[in-house]
Amino acid sequence: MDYIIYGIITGCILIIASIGFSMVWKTENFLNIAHGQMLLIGAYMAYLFKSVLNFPFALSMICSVIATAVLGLLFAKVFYFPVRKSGILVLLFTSIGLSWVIYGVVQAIVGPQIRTFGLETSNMIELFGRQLLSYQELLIILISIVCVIVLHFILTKTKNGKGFRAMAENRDLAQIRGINSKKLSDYVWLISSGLAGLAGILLAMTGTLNMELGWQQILIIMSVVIVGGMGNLYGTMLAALIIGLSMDVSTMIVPTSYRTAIAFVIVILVLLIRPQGLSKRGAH
Amino acid sequence: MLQVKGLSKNFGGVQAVKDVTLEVNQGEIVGLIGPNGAGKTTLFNMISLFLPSNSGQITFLNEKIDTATPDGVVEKGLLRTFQTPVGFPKLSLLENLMVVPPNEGEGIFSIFLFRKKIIQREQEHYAKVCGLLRQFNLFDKRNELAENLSAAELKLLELCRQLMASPKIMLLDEPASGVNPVMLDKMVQHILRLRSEGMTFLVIDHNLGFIYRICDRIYCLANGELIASGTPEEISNNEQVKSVYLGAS
Amino acid sequence: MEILVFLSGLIALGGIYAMLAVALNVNGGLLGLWDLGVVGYFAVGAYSYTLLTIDAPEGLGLPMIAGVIGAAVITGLLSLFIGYTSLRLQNEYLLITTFAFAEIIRIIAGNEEWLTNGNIGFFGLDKPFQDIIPGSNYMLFFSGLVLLTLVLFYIFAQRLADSPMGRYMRAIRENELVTQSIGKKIFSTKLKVFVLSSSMVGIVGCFYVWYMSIIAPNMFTSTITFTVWTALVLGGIGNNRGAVMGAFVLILVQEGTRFIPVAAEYSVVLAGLRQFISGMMLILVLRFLPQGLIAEKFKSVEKLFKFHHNSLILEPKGVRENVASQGAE
Repeated sequence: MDYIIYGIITGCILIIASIGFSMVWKTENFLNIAHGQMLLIGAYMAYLFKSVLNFPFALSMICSVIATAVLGLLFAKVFYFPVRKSGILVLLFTSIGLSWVIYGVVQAIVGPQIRTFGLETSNMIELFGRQLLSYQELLIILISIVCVIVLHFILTKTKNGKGFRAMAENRDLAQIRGINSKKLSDYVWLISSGLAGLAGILLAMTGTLNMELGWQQILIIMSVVIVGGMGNLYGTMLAALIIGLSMDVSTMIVPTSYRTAIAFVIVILVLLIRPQGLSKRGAH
Repeated sequence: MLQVKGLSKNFGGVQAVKDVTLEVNQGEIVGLIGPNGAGKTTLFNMISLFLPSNSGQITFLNEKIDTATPDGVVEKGLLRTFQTPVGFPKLSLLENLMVVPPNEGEGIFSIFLFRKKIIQREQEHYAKVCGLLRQFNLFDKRNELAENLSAAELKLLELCRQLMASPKIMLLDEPASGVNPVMLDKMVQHILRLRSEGMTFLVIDHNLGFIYRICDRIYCLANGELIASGTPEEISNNEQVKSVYLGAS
Repeated sequence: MEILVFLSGLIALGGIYAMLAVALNVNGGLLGLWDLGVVGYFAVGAYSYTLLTIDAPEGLGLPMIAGVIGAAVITGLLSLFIGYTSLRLQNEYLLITTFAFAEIIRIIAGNEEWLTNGNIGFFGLDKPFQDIIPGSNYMLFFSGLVLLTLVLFYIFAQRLADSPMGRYMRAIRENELVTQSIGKKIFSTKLKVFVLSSSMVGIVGCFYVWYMSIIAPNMFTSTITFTVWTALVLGGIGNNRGAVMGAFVLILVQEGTRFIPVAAEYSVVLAGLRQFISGMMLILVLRFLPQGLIAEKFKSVEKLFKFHHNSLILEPKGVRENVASQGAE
């Protein structure tokens, strides 16, 4: 039972981490490797607000998400937009370069120590006479559910959301139909980076902050997005849950150190059976 | 020479090609027309085995080829071109053509083991390529990269490249689109000359004038179904064809 | 003397990365495969070498040369399996799959203690000719050995790139569909080249073991894959000279700064700075020289095989019709 709860929590964090990546892939058509490092930025930003500036945790979370979002947009404007015309391969490698840059800067600033948010251990919630999960963990699940609902609402109800979906289908066509793709892609980068920052914070809440967080997560994020089908947001959410669950539930059978390997085995299997991912609409 | 019988293709519930039957005889130029989305290119993809068909039969030179692979079909002498001719942009014209004929050099170690033999083969291919390039007036550009060619020249290069594979029949997908009238005349001459040398063609194009000029027989496709077939005169007077074209445009 | 040892160490490491970049260029640059599994084959090569050569009970105690050949063969066989399962996938999908395989390989290396001795790995491994060459000069000798092998790799890769096979590979990179339409068997070609490239990486794995004289799973993180790709992109994809140069420049920047004497508390800052500079370099090169430092150069077939000396081609008129009729068949 515990494993399923852990799995759901991992899945929820993965949903938040992957949606932004998926949105960028869908609108900009490249794998943004630096997305993993945005998680790192979000987590350390929150640490900065909480432990250095002594903000309350909720406030430092919000500040950090906003800061990460703005930073993400800034990075996109400075690094990605000027090379858009050179093709996806150049964009992909620019994002790898940007990952090095972010990683280097964060490392230079925070140093090698492992840090935690220093949150008090919260009480466990009891249900049916069993300790199920802590308030913190409940918070993580709630936050991600709220995020998913808000995103769904934005995508289906607002003008920009519809524009986003049109742009994801066909950028040129959307532009012809009078959708302001420039403004829209700004929003996409804001949301994507903000979500990445949030995911970084949540991830650090369940464990500790460490420098490799960005590199570790980007692999799993990519797996999730691929399994979910290229840029398909709902497929991505489903895939995040499946991978999160199977990673944690599998630890009942295989050693814990194989946890991440499970995610990769799933990716390989899915790609071999359904090369276009779980969702119906594939890349081509 | 090429018989297609009852060929069909579904794309997730959408019937792209429905029960199409057609035939191309040795030495003929046969046209395939129809509005956009009629399923012409899908049909080509199936005949060249790029796409598996859902049902139906393809016979080429009295041999069933439904289960062959794309490379197997090419070996038999059935070649196709593409709507958007890009070729190999970063390869020179020479390389674009030299890559076509099968070569013993296409193994990893062969260049180290049989260098002499490979160079000899390369020279034979080179002579053939130069001849072709001269015929199509591309010889002077032989060392240019393909990406520097004009759209019309790319169409010619496309033709050259498929000719290098010594085809018996060629499926041309819109050879005239984006080609200016002067070049179009040349294209017509090339196709007619090749035919006089024994080549067979199946041609898709939207330029009806071009199709009427070169084709012996024409099939018209609409919504995946064959709606008419006949000589250019018959087709140009066919009411159904007219209505399909007017309705679509 | 210190400097000399340091420099030769730098050259050795640079040479190892240059070999990796040349090997990667065969399938990543010429064939255009988005292969992010480099570190996986690297690890397999290194581990197979180690397990074949160290003494029982862990290993088989075979001679070194058998270890190197074994490393190439085992890596080749494994990549045959990886390639067979994943090479039907395109671009991003291939990238993830190869990446996933590399990660799985590293995780296995870290956990299957009966085979790899887990996270501890093996240390104090033998180096070639270490009995003959005195320890103080060994690095000098080793860097020479690396450079020699690099030259062999380079010549091999360059010959291959200039051959009809190289042309065929570039054609696949440029347009797979058209290559298929002229009757080529793309999948088997990809598989062949993939296996070749991986075996080359496997051989380099032995050099890495010699250089480090230890082997452990944490030596084979995905950072290596990214570094090799960065080197290749920096120098110029599809170009062997570029691959070599990119690798040396990158290693010089990353490792050269180690020589700057700093207080211990700043060493982390310096480490961060190294990553920063490598990343910035990559970004700037891509922005201003998208082809890399040395762009892939076009070579005329005529020059490559010296066709100009062929009288048949040079004779302008008499041959013309002859050739033309040949082409029209």
